[in-house]
Amino acid sequence: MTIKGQLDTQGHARVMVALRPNKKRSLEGGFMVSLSETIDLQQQVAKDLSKHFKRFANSRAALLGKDFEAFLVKHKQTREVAVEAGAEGVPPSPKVTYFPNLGVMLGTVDEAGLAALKADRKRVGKVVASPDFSLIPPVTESALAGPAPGVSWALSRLKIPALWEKGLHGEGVLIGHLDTGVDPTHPALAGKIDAFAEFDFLGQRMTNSITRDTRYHGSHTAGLLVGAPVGGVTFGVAPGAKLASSIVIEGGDIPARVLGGLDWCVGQGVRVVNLSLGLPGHDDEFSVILTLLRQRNILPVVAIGNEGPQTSRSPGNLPESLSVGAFDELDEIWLSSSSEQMAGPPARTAPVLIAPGVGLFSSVPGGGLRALSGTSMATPHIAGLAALLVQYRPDLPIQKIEEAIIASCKRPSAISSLRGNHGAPDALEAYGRL
Amino acid sequence: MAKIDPRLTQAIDEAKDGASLQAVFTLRSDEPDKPLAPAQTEARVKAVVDAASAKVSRAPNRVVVFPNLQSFSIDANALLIQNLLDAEHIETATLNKA
Repeated sequence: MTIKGQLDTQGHARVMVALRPNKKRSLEGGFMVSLSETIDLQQQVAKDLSKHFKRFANSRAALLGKDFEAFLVKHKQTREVAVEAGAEGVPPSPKVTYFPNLGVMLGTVDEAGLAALKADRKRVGKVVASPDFSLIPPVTESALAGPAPGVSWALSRLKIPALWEKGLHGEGVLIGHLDTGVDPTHPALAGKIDAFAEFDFLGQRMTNSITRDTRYHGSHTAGLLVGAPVGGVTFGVAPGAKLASSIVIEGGDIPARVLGGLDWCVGQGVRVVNLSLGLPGHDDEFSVILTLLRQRNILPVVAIGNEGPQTSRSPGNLPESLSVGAFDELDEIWLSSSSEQMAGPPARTAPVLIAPGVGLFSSVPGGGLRALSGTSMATPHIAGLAALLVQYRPDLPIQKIEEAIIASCKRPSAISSLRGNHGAPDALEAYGRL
Repeated sequence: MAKIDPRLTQAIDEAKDGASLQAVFTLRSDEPDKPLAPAQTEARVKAVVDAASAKVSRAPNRVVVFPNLQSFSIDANALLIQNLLDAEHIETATLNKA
């Protein structure tokens, strides 16, 4: 995101500052920066400029620091920080980190700090937005043991089996599934794919496409949504529901492909759409599409992203999304789960809620099970829960289903509202509220 | 006033003569809480694109209508896309690129 965009949405921006003063020496007909002399010069400048950086309680660095401290306390470890030679005067902090060998400062500024840095042309070479990462795939867990037999920890944590006992498995509910596709031959997914489509770069549905997964991501999220037990391992939230599944994110996750998939899903009659995808940054233009989905009584459940605090993806960060972050089996926030506070309007925190998303076994192409972590894995748990509640009360507008889910949420005590917002839902309580 | 993706404006500005772009447009409905019916969307897309094409005397390379989402994607000359930005019924315009 641009510096201006960050300032507008958060009131502060993460910037990278390249320092100007350096000493050059001629070298083979050209010039080269003399590192040893420049380091000393620039350290003084960095020390002086560090006053323009500020610590913000909801900045990415501060939140990551808090998460890390909690992790250290829990695991009885101490924090040891190495200070690079040449950076002794500017030790790393949540407000700024100085990289002496590069002559670069990376930190958080407000508008006044930014203006001061830009005005100091003698000592500041360039101020640019801190680079964003592009799509980060789910984390593969190195599971030494296979999946434990029985109901997954994620389903138990959300009390999903309590709804199964009431006869709710998602029968009659169609869920939109926009992903990398799905492997229909997997034993967990046999008979679960009601419709399938593939879209080109302009969002045109391709004819004669074969139901398949172009990678593994889609089969995994599909299994978490509607998968049947395999080998005594139970991981699907709504095994009675079916999917309208489409390939939209392999080979170019561009807006028209997602639109094509959503448009097709609406035409198929879905009540819930699972979007374990997102474009980095803020795409407000997508708000219109999500509003249209809601006007058609369809709930968009969207992953918030895997890039940690003060990051988020669109459409998950739009106010029309029921956005989902991830936590682990110990009721701690997953460190890479995105979260962001937006000035708005409307002022809000994303994600709206959190769900289990760490070390979850589900189906992958070829018939096996694999453990993955990510908000992509957390999202199907909420979409699946919504499907169970839609089966219970198909007469209600989707807004009421969403309200019941949110009202049932409780936030684990170790997770701040900035990271986990409303917390994790309780399926039985949500059911009771309808 | 349409909400326009700045990346699209930049792409139009940087496009050379004859260069094609891909964009996604959503349409404004007549009543705020009542979306256009699929048939209305199709008719309106045709009218809007035909009018813009006539103005610049160029036909689009391809148009895909999303009737259930009141929107369409288009592959066309940058001049035609620039013209669509000013069309009466356009609500948003986005560059079709990750």
